[in-house]
Amino acid sequence: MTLVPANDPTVATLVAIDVTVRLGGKTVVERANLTLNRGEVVALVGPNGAGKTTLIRALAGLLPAEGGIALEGRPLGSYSARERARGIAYLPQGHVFHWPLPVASVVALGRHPHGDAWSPASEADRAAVQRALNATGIDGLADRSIVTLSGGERARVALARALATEAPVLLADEPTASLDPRHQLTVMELLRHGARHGAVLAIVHDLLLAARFADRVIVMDRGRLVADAPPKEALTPDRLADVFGVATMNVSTADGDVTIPWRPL
Amino acid sequence: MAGRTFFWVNAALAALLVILAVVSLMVGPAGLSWRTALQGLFGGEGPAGIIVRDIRLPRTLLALAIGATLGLSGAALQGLLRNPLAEPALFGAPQAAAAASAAVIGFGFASAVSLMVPLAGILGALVSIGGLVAIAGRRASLTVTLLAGLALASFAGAMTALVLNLAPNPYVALEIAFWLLGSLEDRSTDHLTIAAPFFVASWILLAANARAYRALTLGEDAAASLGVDLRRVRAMVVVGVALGVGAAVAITGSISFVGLVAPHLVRRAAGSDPARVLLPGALAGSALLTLADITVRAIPAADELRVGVVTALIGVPFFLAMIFSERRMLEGAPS
Repeated sequence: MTLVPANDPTVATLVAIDVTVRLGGKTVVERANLTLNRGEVVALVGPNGAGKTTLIRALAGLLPAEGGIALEGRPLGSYSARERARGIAYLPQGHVFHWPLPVASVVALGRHPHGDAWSPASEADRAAVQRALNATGIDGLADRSIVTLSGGERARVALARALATEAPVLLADEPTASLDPRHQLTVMELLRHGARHGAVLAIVHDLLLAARFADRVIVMDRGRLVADAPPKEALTPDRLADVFGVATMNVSTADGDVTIPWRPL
Repeated sequence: MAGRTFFWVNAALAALLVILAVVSLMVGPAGLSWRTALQGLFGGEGPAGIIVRDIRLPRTLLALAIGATLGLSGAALQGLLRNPLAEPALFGAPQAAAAASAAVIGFGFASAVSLMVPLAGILGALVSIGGLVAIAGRRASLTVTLLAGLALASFAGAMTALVLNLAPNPYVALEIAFWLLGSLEDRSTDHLTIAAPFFVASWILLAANARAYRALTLGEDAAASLGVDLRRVRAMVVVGVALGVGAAVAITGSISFVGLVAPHLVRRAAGSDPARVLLPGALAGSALLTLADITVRAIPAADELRVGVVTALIGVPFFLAMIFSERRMLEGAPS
């Protein structure tokens, strides 16, 4: 496999070539090809069961996959778990916290791959945690227990944890799920902000959010990537009818026309 | 601020352990003053020296070490399974260890003081905890985890009953039955020498994964994405708990609920952090078991009360209270 040279800022940070994932004998992701470039936000959309979460977990190195995945020009398989964790931050669905830790401790978990058991948090770790707290606007909550927070606040804590790693790639699985409109917009803005460090790939169910915030939209259907283009070209009425089974409507906004799902076909 | 509270909790527990250890040297059929007990400990001549050094010191050290092992095992399992109700005994580990050890003694493979007994106990605990972690695997609900533990504990109980059933003579059956109740009576330096390496290995394996337990707060996927090698962590905890609990059971018989109660007592002081709860959890375990062992010696009775009976008598109501206070979390289905 030919891979792009490392340390070239113009170059892709994460490349997937013919990635196939089988789970329990079933092919869930089939020959997926995609590239994430530094500084861009890419939305991954598709109906339930299309294989979006599986693809993202494979890209994060959490699932065995066939084909090639390269991070910063090196095959993902050649990274140690800790090296990989410094390169790819992964934000799973649901914002789960099993213990009622203070917010600052949760966010500090994002620095886990940077330290080890024998070295306490370094100055760089503390600074990164503070940056993540500030960026997500939760520095005022740092000492609060995570269980006392609202859903929107928890979503921001989860995102801050992922941002604190300051990895060149951020993979987020439905970061806006079950949030009110304002928090959805805030989280998407934070992802945009996070993209300054690297590339962001986020599973988004709200096609409007995807169209509004993403540089590119990748459409996934039954395990295959069927479109990878700027939002207008990816989310055409024909494709939405085909993939999601919805009839669409055009709505004009200050930013031009947008296509929104209107009724099931 | 939180760090300072944490330090003082550990310091207070350590001080409490010193006091309990001295009291433990004083209490017994021949009551000693603390002065005599300490003189006996540091080379005093005469009967006091013999009683303290040969009888009460090994017993006290075993109570401290086994209590710490149980407390640490509970805290580590709770961290691994992200569940405050995880405890070796709920998952049948001591029961399985007891069944295996009982089989070795009952069928006359070994005398009670031999390396065979702890080895069998460790093997039994390994099978039960390994089985549990395999069943409770990636995202099993609390219900599945507890049911699996119940099944394993019941099966271990049945195996023990089988050993008793097939015991060659009633004396062996009685010996096993009493041993199963859990006691530190008449344990010698030999017991301590046999078990100590297993305890130390267990402590190292369980404490080495402190940061992994903390990362697991975010769930297994997120922890793995942070560079935690889950398979390795699971294997280390399973082996660590099996080594510690297996060796403990082989020495004392079954002692339950210390692993559940000890971490719970100190969890708030540790800020609910599954990594920081390890040390105070182990110290609290030591204190609880030493206290229970002092209690059985202080209560006048024809035959000494068994310490395993005392911990269970205290532990079960505590466990029920915990279920009651955490029922909202427990009703929240997936762990």
